[in-house]
Amino acid sequence: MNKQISNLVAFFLLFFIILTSCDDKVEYDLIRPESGPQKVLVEEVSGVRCPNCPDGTRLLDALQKEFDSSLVVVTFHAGSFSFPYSESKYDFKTDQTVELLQKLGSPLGYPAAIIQRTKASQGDGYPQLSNTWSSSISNALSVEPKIKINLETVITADEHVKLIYNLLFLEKMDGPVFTNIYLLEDGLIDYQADLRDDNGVVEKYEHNHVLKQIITPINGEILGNSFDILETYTDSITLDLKSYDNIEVPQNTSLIVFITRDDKVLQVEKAYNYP
Amino acid sequence: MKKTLLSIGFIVCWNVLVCQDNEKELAINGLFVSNLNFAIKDEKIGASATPFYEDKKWGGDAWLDINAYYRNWQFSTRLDGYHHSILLNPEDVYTKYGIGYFNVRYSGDNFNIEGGHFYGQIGNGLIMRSYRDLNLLIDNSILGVKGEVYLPRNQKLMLFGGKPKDLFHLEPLWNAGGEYRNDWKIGSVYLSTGAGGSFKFLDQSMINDLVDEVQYYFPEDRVELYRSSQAITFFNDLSAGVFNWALEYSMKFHDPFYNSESLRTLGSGENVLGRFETKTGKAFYTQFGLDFEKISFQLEGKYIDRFINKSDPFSFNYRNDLNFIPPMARVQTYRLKARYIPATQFLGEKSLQMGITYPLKKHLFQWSNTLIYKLDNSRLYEEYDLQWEHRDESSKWVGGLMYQDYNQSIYEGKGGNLRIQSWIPYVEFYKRIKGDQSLKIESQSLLTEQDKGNLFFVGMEYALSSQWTFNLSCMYEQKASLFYPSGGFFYRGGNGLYGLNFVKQLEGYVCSGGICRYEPAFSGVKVSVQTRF
Repeated sequence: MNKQISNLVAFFLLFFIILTSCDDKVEYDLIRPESGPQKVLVEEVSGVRCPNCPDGTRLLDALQKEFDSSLVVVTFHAGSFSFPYSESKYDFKTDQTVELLQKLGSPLGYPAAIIQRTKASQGDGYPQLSNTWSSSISNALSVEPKIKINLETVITADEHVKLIYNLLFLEKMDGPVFTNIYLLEDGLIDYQADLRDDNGVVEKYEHNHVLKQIITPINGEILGNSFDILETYTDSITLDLKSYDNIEVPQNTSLIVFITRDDKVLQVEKAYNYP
Repeated sequence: MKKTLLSIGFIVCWNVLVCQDNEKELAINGLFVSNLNFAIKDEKIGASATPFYEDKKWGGDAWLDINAYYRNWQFSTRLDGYHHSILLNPEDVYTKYGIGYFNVRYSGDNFNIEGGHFYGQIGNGLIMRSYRDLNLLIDNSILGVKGEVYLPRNQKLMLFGGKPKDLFHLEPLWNAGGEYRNDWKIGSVYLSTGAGGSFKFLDQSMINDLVDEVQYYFPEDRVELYRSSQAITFFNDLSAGVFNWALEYSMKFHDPFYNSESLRTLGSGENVLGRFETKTGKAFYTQFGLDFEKISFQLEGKYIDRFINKSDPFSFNYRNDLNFIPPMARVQTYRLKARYIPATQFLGEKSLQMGITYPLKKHLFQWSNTLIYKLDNSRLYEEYDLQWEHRDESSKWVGGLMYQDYNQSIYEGKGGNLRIQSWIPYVEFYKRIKGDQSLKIESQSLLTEQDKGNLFFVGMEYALSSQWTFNLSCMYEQKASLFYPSGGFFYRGGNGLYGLNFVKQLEGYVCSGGICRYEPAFSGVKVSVQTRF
């Protein structure tokens, strides 16, 4: 019997020795985010019934401030959390947002966002859970930009919005390059599930950067198949915001333009329609 | 594809070699399991707006297990196939094929050793449990080597090391450890005593990923990170006549995990829930039983404080758990009794389950009671269940009443303090008609004013013979006036079991660690095949 107790003690001692001998702390420094010429598109997957999503939005808003506006955030409502409440004023889910979610893949959990259309490390899909956002955004920002985008919006005499976008290619590019244009709206007050709220639902939640319309085809509009270094490309598009039924206040709208190649975002820029 | 060919080649070559040597000692068996789902869109119950309903229309999962035995050797492999499967994420579809498992095992007189993917457990599984439950897409086997040695005087030593897997890839860490167990006795008291340890060694890529994330934390939220983490456990099982008592206490050090209930400060001055931590975790589990001839008592208790143990600290998925802490509530077989299930809260929980079983001639009375609290004493779940059962030679009656108080905010990740209080009366009648013919009818009601309101369920199962079983059921959601009918049959023939069922199923939320996964309603046809060879 004593021998067996000795074995048990020896087994414990072995683990204790291993435990106490492990001084393998990882040294690292805390840093603050740095912004550069590269901007990052964050497509946040949301739904008015998603109780964790407001925390995700709060995190993104804070990151947007920390990264000095290098982030361009779009919130699109799709998936099973996106069915409106019977008391909801709006239905932010549209055929286009449903199609976009099918294209990008449904998240395994919420909050979730697609960062610069790069694949999530933990799976094969694009959506990433919030505990990887800071590092993914930081990695995407550290990339040397391949394109520079300049946007200009003009309100025409007939109160249409004219968006002029000018691209400067910073390196030679072969293969199809696509342009994508989203129309967003801020300041929409409506119901939203929120884990932090005592009732679980906030009646007057402010929904910002909500994707209202994908102006280009969902896979983008082809710009060309080959671009030389320092080549420029300029184009424009004119929109009658009143023609979109789901736009509530045109003054709260903005447009974002992002360029993709091989389904990855190369650069993104945002312009308010009524700055 | 390459892996599949390698696997098939491996099996064929091995067979050829063995058959040349001694054909008589060779034994091969296998199991093929497949589930096919066909979508029938139903917007009323929410079975819509996913790729499965809108685009693919069908999907399935299949697993082929092959085992070969030769003298002291055992060779096993499993081929996995997922085609438009809704098992991984019901809101999406998943398609992939490959080798899910392979294992070579040699068993000696007083030892055995295995290489490849292996399963195992230390103690009751608090610090390490590697297992598979493919219907939930769980297979957290470890790719490496495991050995067990049976020492004199009923002592046993188990050691293992390898990389945990998830689906078809390996996680970027090593997991190694072992268990020492001794079965001994003092007079008529039988004991099984042991200790175990499990260590994780993170790959540099995992460390980099963690640093990339936590380096942006504010100083007050700084996390100490370590290249390795340690978990230790001590356990003892005691049995003395009618009395039995099991207990296990575990601790975990330096392990990085995501605490979804911990606040983190943001640059904006606001704070959000969720940050990484490496604080020490503790878990305690005990089970106590008294089994007299006339009556038996059972008591089970659990205490958990920060005991998340995953192969991927970024994951919220139960597939990545390296341990297993069972939920305290009993496994429920009746549909509506299983509607609100209190999942184990790995971040913090203290819970108790009590049970009394009292047989009286042909009657059996069972009382069970579950209480689950958070570590701050806030109530998470209560369950009180009184069940009566009567059996005679050809029939059985079961009846009972259950009361549940379920914290929906916590278990389903909803805000506020949403609680569901429900009464669930239930009844079942089983009758053996003649030969293999039998009939089972069951019914339950879930009576509540919260959530979806009252639910009613009635089901029938008729076994025509030992081959054919037919079933029919319907659930009614009173508040929305929705019916969920289901029906189909199973055929058992040869070495197989084959099923065809039309299913309509209510939706529900499944949340874990602050991250919610929505299990949409199901509407469609399910075909199942299970055959041995």
